[in-house]
Amino acid sequence: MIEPVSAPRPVVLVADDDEDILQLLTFLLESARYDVVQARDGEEALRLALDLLPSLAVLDAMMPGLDGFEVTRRLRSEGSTRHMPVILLTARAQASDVSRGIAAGADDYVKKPFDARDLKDRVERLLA
Amino acid sequence: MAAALLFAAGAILWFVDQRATAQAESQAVSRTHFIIDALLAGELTQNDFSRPISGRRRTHLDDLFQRTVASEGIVRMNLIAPDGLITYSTEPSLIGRRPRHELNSVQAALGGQGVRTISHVQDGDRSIKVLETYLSVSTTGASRPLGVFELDQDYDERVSAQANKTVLPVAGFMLVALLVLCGALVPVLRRVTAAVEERNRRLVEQARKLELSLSSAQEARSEAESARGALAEQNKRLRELDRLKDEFLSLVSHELRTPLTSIRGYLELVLDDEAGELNPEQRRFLEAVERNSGRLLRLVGDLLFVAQADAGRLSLEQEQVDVSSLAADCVEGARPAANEKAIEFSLLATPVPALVGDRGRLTQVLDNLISNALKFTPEGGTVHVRTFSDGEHVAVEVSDTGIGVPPADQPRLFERFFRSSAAYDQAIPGTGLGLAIVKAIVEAHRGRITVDSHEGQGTTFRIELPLAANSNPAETMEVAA
Repeated sequence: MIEPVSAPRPVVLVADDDEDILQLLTFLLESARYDVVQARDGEEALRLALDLLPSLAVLDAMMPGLDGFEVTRRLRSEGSTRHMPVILLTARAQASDVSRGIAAGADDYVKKPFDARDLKDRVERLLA
Repeated sequence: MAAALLFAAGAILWFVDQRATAQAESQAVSRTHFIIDALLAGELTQNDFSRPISGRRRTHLDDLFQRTVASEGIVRMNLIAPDGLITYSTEPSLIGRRPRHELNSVQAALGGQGVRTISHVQDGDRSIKVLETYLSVSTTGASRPLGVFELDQDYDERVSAQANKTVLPVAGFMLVALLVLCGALVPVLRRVTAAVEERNRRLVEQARKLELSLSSAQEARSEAESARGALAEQNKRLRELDRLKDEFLSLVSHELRTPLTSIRGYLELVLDDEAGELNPEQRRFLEAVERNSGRLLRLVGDLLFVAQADAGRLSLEQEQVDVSSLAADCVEGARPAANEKAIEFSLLATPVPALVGDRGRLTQVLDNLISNALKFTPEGGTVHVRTFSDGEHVAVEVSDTGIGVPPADQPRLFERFFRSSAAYDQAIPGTGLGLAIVKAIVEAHRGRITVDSHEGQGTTFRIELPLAANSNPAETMEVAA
């Protein structure tokens, strides 16, 4: 059986140092028909983002080494990724994290634990 | 002391002696004057002073002196010519001599002065101290004195004796006075000495005390310094602890939420039949897991909230909030829970002015109060919510016909982790954080919360939020709770 030819699916980069959450995010986004690229720390996320130029990045704010804020800042300073939509995920409740994320140049900010539907809606909205 | 008195007495005696001697000497001179004026003036002639006298004249003069002048203590009398020649003397061997050493005295006497000198003369084998007085002799009508009359007197006899007559009584008086003085003064002096000693003793005592207080002041200073040091150390440790607490909060927040994210995320997938269709029993079990993971999540949130409020880092959004419509939303949200317990659940919302505050936090307050009311009200009871304004505040009252709060528990009702004994007794679940959070949020809005409760009859919570408190909606306030 031959699958119908369709437009290439958007590539989404997800980065989280927690394997379970990484797989959960991957499952949610793949089921929403995105191609997912996984990164397990900030350095890998930055390298993949610059190499593959995904349509969107979902980054955990708190990662060892380069954290989500720093990755966002570096993406914003590169011409090729300056306009790449970035969603930051954080388990921290402080309002100061939100302003830090915004200051780093993130487009959206999702608190953990997140609602699957809510996350998918936000990704969809940023890719529209 | 006595030595000083003796010295003073000695000094006085010496002074008196000096005075007495001078007086005796001047008396001796006066005597010479008297002799000349009263006895000799009419007798002596120019001739008596021109050449050494002899023969009848000399016998006459001897007789005159012997008769009128000679007496105890008079050693000798001379008549001396202006050129110093002794023309007559009661000591015959001196007549016709011209002693050099007397010349000055003779000259001075001729000049009108009363001259007196002291010398020593040999009288047989003994040496006599002699007071020599020289006085000029004149006759009436003559412009120049005829010559000089010299009267030599035994010093000891005529002067010292005189002086002693004065000095001895004085000395005696002095001695008596000294004794009296000693008698009178010694007790006084003793008292003075005692007073001085007492004062000295006190001064020494004071000095010792000063020294002591100085050293204790130094001690206190060093103690204060070490206390300050300890305080600074403690401050440092407190700041360190504060930092650690922040870090801990952030860590707990992250570490608890991360596993909960996975738990709830995967659970949601399973419950959404993403992993295949669930049978009713599987669904029921997993729903219990989801419910309890939700409780855990809320507990983490509540703990973090309270910790933030504690640290004064409760940040509030500043939005226009219509409390009446907020109350309506909350009542609507809680309606299913009320229906479940067949509770009569009503809202009386009057139009109130909008206030500036954090809509999310105020929703949390009303949700908390309403869920509490429903939780503590038995089936078939009543929960009533009312909003109103007095123009300065917006008030919300949540009344129930629940079990009530025992009077003893009411003061502690808003303490964190405090749970009323009534809630315990009836095994009503809760963490004891709900009302603490409500109070923190209300106070962060500069409002206040009160409770009116009667055991077994019901409870009314009332919050009052000032309308004018949060006047600058653009800013995010950091408020100490």
